[in-house]
Amino acid sequence: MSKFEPRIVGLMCHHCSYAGADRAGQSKSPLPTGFLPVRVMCTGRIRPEHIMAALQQGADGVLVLGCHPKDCHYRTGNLRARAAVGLTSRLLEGLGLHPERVQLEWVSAAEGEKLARVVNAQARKLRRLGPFRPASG
Amino acid sequence: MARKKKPWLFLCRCGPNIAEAIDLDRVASAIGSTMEVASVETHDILCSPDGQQWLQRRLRRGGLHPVVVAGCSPREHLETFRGVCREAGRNPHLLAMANIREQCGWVTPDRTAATDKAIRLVRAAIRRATLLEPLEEQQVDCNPDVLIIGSGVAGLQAARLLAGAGRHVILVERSPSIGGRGPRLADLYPEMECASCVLEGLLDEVLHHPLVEVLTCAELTRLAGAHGQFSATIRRAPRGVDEAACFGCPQCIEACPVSAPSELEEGLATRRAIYLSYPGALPNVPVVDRSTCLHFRGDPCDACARACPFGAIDLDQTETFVTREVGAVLVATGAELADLASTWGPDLPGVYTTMALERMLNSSGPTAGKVLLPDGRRPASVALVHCAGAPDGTRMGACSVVCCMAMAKYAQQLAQKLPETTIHELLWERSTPGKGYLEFASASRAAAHGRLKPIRLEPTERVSVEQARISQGSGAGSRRRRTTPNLVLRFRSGGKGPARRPLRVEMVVLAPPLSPSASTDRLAHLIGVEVGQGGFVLEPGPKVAPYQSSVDGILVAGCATGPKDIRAASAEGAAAAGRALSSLVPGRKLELEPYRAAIDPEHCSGCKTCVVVCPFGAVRFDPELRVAQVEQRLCQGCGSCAARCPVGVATAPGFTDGQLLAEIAGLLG
Repeated sequence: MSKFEPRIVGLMCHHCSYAGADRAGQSKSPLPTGFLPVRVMCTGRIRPEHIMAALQQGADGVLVLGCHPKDCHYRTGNLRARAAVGLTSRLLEGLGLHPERVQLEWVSAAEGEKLARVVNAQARKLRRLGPFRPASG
Repeated sequence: MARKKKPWLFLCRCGPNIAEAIDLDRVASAIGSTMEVASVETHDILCSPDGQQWLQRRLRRGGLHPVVVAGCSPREHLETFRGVCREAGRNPHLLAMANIREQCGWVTPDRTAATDKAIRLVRAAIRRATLLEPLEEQQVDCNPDVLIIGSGVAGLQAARLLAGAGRHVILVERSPSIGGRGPRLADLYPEMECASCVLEGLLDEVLHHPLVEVLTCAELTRLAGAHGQFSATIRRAPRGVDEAACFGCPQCIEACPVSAPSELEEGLATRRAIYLSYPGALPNVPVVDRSTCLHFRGDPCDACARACPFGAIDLDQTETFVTREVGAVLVATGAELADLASTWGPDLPGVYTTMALERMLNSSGPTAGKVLLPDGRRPASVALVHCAGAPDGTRMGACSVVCCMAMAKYAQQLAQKLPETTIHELLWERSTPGKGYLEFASASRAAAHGRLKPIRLEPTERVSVEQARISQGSGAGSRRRRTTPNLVLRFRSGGKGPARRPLRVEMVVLAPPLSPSASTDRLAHLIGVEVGQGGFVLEPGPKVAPYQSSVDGILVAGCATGPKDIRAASAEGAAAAGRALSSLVPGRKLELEPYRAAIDPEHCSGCKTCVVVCPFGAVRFDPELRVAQVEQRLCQGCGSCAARCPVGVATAPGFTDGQLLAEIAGLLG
């Protein structure tokens, strides 16, 4: 049987983190093959339902990547995203699931290297936790 | 409405960039076999002129097919392909991109894995595209006129350039006269030109320009609307003098029996209750200060009114409000010297701020250009203290930019005017960046011929000023006391070493920091612009858009964003004028954000959550309809309202829940 490769949905803002992910590509930094990017204009757009939908449909983890505090193109969207992620983590925990399957990080447009680090760290964590099955977490 | 059809998929090889990393034939056949697309075609380089023409020819075929381009990052070429859609007569927002280059081929060394991932990304883009709706590219009229708040050098420069280009300018000034701090200075470094000579032409041109409406004693009280169409309400405080009737003779001033400390002269001289801000102030119309005028303190005095030959005095004037329509607002509210902490002995005789010394050095100032102690003598010794103002006596944290050069100027001027005097310069740091600045500072030291004694303080060293106690047993008679240096600067070592010996001097000149002008905080709150470090107005993109505040259509220049000298303030005023000229062009319309949010009024519950979360104040609650409404011009399309609406009636077009969930499902399916 082949090694478990987690699927991670990356919800990223157009202005900073998605650009950071492009930067990782431009410098040819390898990312886990299960990292699946979604571009939104602002992470403030993200509802806990979007994160939960990703998990329900087969993602093993979700990363919400937004601009550093004070750098948000829309001023405070990143802070709203932090609240949405925090809420989702607590929800998972309440359901007996591992709260860190969902994680928020700040990645700027220049931080291709940080993006690769964050995604690889999340993939390592999810490999340890194993596939997401709502029954086992 | 025409029934939407299956998307057309276009794959780009990007030369070898994508073709080598991903097996596009396998992507095409995997997607083609799902029956989710109407067609799949591949091109070598879709963004090239040939590629764009090739794509345009295909997009001209009929039918409401959404378009999916799988290639590079949408950050690279989404706008390019939107343009191709427009050229082909299609809505540019019925287009989705799958980023199979930067975020797939280039980060996935294994070609099979990269191809598997590319299939997921393309499928997600197709699912998203299927649910896209055409978005309206709306344009709105704009008003090319500009409201400028603050008439210092930055505001004046902007007013002059805008009016010169034929724009109407409304110049709002809180004080009774225009010009800001500049005209109060004597000589301007490093050229040492006379300030009023340099600035007078600018003041005069703006004051008398037919396209500039100057409103003094005025402040903004309300700003409605958005970039391109603001409506500003301005309160005019009563001046007590009819500007149109006044001829500027000084008869009313001479008749006034009141004597009050002069703000201009930093308390070194007095003024009347009806007065001119400074000699030569423009407009040349006095103002009645109600806090000191006897008439407003229960006395029947009307001496000024009786003295005026033109009947221009109107003590019964009341405040008035005017409304003006403009397309942009420029905040040029400037800075002022911060109040000194008690450590610095602000009330001790012989202790002066740089501004007070500036006035003493001015030939039209309170001492006619002589540098004198309170008892009328020339000081035998002076200490110039840089970076003063921190309550604990350490170096003031934030650099106020202008002080080191001002101190160099004072050293030079004091050395000239007081040939016997020793000048101590106490400083933690010296900062003189600017064309000719370091040379000026060096020349100033040379001009003092050894009578300038710099004292370099350690970073954590503290200084305080106090009245010297005349030592006992020295026969401290009144004559002797007068001739003894009576101020003492005490030092405390920040480290373990012994403290520096106290320094006795007769005069201390402190350089307090520049802080935002008193109205800045209230104004920022009123118009919704963010303030940053030290309470100055924030310019979120200081490198490429130094003129831009955090709100679209509200520009900023001069010391409102932080301390700077006249040269820099002037340049920023010009930059802001340039921005207003290029963003508001008569006859040209403004593009609205295509992703602006929509709220369904039928189903809105009126909970106001969206009103609270919108970072741009773009959602307003209509109290009559009891629903939230999106102000089209203010919405920036972030989708924060859509993310929080508890009943799901606020939507973010282009990133609806349906589109996002379909894309996520496409990635994972």
